Amino acid sequence: MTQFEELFVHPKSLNSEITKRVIEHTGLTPMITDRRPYSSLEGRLTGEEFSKSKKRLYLLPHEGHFFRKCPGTTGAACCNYFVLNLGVHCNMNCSYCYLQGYINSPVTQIYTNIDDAFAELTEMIRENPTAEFRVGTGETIDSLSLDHLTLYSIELISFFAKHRHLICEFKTKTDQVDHFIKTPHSGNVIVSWSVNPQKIVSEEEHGTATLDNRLSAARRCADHGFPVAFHIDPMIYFDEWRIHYEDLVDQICSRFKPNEVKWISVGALRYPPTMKHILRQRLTESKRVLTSELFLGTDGKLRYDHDLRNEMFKSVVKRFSDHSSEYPLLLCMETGASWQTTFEQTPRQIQGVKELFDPIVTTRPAL
Amino acid sequence: MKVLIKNAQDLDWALNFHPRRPWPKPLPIVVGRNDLVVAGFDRPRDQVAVSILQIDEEPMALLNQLYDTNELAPLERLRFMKLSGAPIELNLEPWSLEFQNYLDNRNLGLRVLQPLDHLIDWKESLENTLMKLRLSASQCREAIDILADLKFLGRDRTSWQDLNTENPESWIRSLRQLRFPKTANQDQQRQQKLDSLPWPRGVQAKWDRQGDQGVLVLQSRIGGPDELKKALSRLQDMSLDKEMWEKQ
Repeated sequence: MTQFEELFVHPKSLNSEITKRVIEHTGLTPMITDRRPYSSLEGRLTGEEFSKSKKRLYLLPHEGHFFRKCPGTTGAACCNYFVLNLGVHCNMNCSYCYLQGYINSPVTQIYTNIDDAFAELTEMIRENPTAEFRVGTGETIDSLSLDHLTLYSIELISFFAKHRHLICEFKTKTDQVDHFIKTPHSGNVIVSWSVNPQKIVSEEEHGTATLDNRLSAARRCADHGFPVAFHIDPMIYFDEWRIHYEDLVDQICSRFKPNEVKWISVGALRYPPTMKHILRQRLTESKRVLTSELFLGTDGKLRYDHDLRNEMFKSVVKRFSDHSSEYPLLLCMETGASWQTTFEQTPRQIQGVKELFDPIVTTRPAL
Repeated sequence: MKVLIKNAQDLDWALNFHPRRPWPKPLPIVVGRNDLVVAGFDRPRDQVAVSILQIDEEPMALLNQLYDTNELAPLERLRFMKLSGAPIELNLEPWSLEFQNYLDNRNLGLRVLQPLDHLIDWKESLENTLMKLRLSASQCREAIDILADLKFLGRDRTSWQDLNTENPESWIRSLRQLRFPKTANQDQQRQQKLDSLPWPRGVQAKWDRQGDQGVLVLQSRIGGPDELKKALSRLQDMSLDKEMWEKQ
């Protein structure tokens, strides 16, 4: 994982527990500023600046809404996911990371005012008492890779323990779970892993935990009563993809029974064409993500050929069903046509998945 | 401000900004303080007597008055910005002025042109081929992107240099085949399969790539309701089984 080399702290965050922990962990002397550091670089970052932005940490309070609906993608079936962003950026380095085309900040940011996020959530719950929100914390930042600094997982588990009808998802590529697994919980915090065959982990997911370590961490969570989930996403095409992905499914199934897994989502490599420039600038040894045969999809993202994607999805789905038909599978950011080809059903026709896709009515137009 | 006759070689051409459109011929060369030329860069620089309009002002201030950056084409604007020492997003040095103007005439944005930074090794062939082909803006955009991909795929210049350049469409098609060989091959196999099927008379079947999806496009000329009925009935008899849409 990337080590921070510079630390900036907003004056309002100076006395936060997180700031104290960060200083203790990193040994860095903070520069205090209420202005975003390196603001002259804001805009589209070059590959070099993007890499540097992973080494600069800015602790600040977030102003504005923490909580919003997952933007999904045009034309894809929507699974009603909400995101709670407690920071922006990632200290790991996946070649395909969508943040490369999204982040325009020259620093990694961690928000120090989680209490404001809880206040916003409480208000949401008060306004929509029956809505069963699923909330994820891993959209613009890995849920756990900086959690040893924030310890937000513990606060989130305690908050959601009081709101049993809601679901919170921690999404990660790390194996850092031991600091929270003993926290009393209500079984509604799902710890999920983005997983790929070890070959892809080694070649494309730099600085992340090995597949084996991720699955072991998931096992420890399950043993402590936490529901777990997996995201086989993005599936990446290479010559021996089938064997490797089948092996991945076998590894998951050998360690987890269907009833221990809340959901398994499957998706394939996709990114906006505008991200190609930074991919070209930041290219590591593997050129797979850049040089694969990708075509513009109807949502404006580059994707594998529709048939190839479906072949990949079907292969994974079949392998799971060879183990058990009970594994709860769903496709992430895919069209109705892909659902039909893969499952021969739409998401709302599949038991166990249907509920995720039922529209949630909320009182806030902003959502 | 005064109009003078001077030896062009006595002028300072250091700013060297080449706007896309030539300075109107009837107008004199415009020169700022210290004999720095600010307009008329396209004029021959070896003439003994040239007509100049000398204005006793800072050359950069004059340039800013003469050229509105909002009206300059993308690469022209970069050349202009470079004069003021502003950081620019693309390395213009390797590319000839003629090629820069060729791209600007297609009004291609900088994002589209960024892959050029990776194509400097192929400069000569790339400039010659693109300019010879007189590509449209969208063809140019696609070609630059594909060529950068080919570079990252480790392909040699010869892989694309010898492609048939008779017309832009077939050249772009050949480029796509080079860039997406597996998909191109599968699409070709499907077309062959379509060609082998007994389509009703007057119906043309084509396998067409539309973004991330290959689709069957049927074309037929229908002269009236009876013909439509017949054509539909014959099409229904066609056995377009699942295999047709599955990869070979």
